[in-house]
Amino acid sequence: MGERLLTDVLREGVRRNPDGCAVRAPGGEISYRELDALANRLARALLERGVAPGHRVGIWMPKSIDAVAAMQAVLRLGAAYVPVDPLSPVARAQQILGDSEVSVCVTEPRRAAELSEVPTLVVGDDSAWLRDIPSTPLPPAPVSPDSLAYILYTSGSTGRPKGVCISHRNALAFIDWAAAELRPSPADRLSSHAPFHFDLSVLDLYVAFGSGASVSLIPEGAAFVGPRLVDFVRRERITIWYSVPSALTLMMDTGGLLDPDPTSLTVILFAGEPFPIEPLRCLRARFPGVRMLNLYGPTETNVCTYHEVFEIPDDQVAPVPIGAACSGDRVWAVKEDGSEAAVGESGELLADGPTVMLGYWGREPHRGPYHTGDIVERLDARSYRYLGRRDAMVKVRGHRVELGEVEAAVGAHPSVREAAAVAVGSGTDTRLVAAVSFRDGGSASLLELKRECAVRLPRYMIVHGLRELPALPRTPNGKVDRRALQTICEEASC
Amino acid sequence: MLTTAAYIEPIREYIVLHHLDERSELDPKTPLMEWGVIDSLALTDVLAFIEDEFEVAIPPEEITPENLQDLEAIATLVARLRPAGASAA
Repeated sequence: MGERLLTDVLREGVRRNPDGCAVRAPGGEISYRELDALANRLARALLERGVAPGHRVGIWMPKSIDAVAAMQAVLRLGAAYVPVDPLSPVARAQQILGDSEVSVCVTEPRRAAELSEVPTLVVGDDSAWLRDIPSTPLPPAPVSPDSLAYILYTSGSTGRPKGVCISHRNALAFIDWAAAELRPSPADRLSSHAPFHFDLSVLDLYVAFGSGASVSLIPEGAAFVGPRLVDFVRRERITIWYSVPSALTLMMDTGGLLDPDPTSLTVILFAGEPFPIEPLRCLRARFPGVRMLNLYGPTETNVCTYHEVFEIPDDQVAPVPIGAACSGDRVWAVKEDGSEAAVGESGELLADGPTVMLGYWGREPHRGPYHTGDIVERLDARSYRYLGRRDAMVKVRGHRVELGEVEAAVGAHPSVREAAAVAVGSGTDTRLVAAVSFRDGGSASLLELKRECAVRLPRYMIVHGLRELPALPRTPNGKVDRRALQTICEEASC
Repeated sequence: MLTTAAYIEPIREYIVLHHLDERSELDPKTPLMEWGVIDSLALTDVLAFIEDEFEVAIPPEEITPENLQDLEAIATLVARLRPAGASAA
């Protein structure tokens, strides 16, 4: 037998819990045995459409059992899947599917017509044709642990999204660490809050599969509706929850998560952005018996550090640490002069090890440690605390946003002379404000600028506010004065 | 029973005032979710306004993208949830 592949994870679940539930979704549920069969059928359907080892296959559809099975089907053919945000406009989806040169895109009926330039495999509605395809296993595909398994597209600083290429080995290094840390049993129920194009979803699906536990999918439309999320946790009897902190604070603020009503939670995991300390203290106090882990890592390294959150002292104001290296990785902080930060000093966090991506799609392979762009403080020999970014990337509810992409979209409005985007507020209240100077005689409403964003960008990159200026402030050497803009926009939003 | 049109105007005014700007022209079919007018930040606030203004309780399972996709859909939801005989505020 060769080295383990990502495809083996679901097989482990099938072996451990063949008749147990693998995935629960609003439309129904599917057992491990049935999911295995569905993945084989979809693999055969993709094979008929010419998908071969080394190909990429897009997946652009709502979170569903079909989408989960399609991802496994792609892997079983030795190809790589490219999940596309179901809430993205068609222009964005086409851009990503074109960039990654997918041979086929798995999608639902109403989207298929929009994807004129890409061959599609349409599932959902009436997929009776699928049942006529044999569910017997396919011959093993010629893949190695270093083969590409999936590509996750994130916001790019050049104004175009960029594809982070993850191999079987990269993904398994994290999944195996998480499984060993959490030790789920087939009786566990994991939540799947993050969309599949977001790297948080990797834990939800594969940690569940490897242990024969079940994973309950939260549809896109409910992901930021506090009362629905809390209702979901109770109704689905979720034991392991994983999301961005924004979702948890919403559940506390508007969903009644802090009410004394019992839940089945045993583990709460969060990642993607700093958890503001006050709500985290409340959460920690409300669930004394529940393990809480802060996971950290950009998409390029998956999760490379973690910190277990115990009781938080009343006088603590700093956010909890991102912690120490995990997943077999090594992390360290480098100061501006290139030397390693000592305890008490800060620098940019670097990560190296088995989770570090193959590279960006269409570029040279990545070599050596990954420079995260995150500035951290070294707390002790092994542990770090996140301080901020060294560039124009911001996080909006855990999603990475390169301000250049937002500026390009706002600038597409014919009345806009120049535009800059600024993130104001902090934590879960982070909002994107467009600072705009209009052409003579021209103007645009906030609604019009939102529309410009909406046809080009994922929904989390749509601007929240508009600040009109006669001209953008400039530094003496003519560059946009971001510091001055920040001040102007922060004031306007108060 | 009032027509849904009676619910649209107060909701329109509220959203324009609190989540857009005075230049923004919302019509009953403007896509609110798709264009990010009602996003995760605005959602709670808009729902609280509707519940107060029209004295309705919106159960979690009704908070869906379909029910909130535009002013017309929201008004239809409010009309459906309001007890028979209630009048618009």
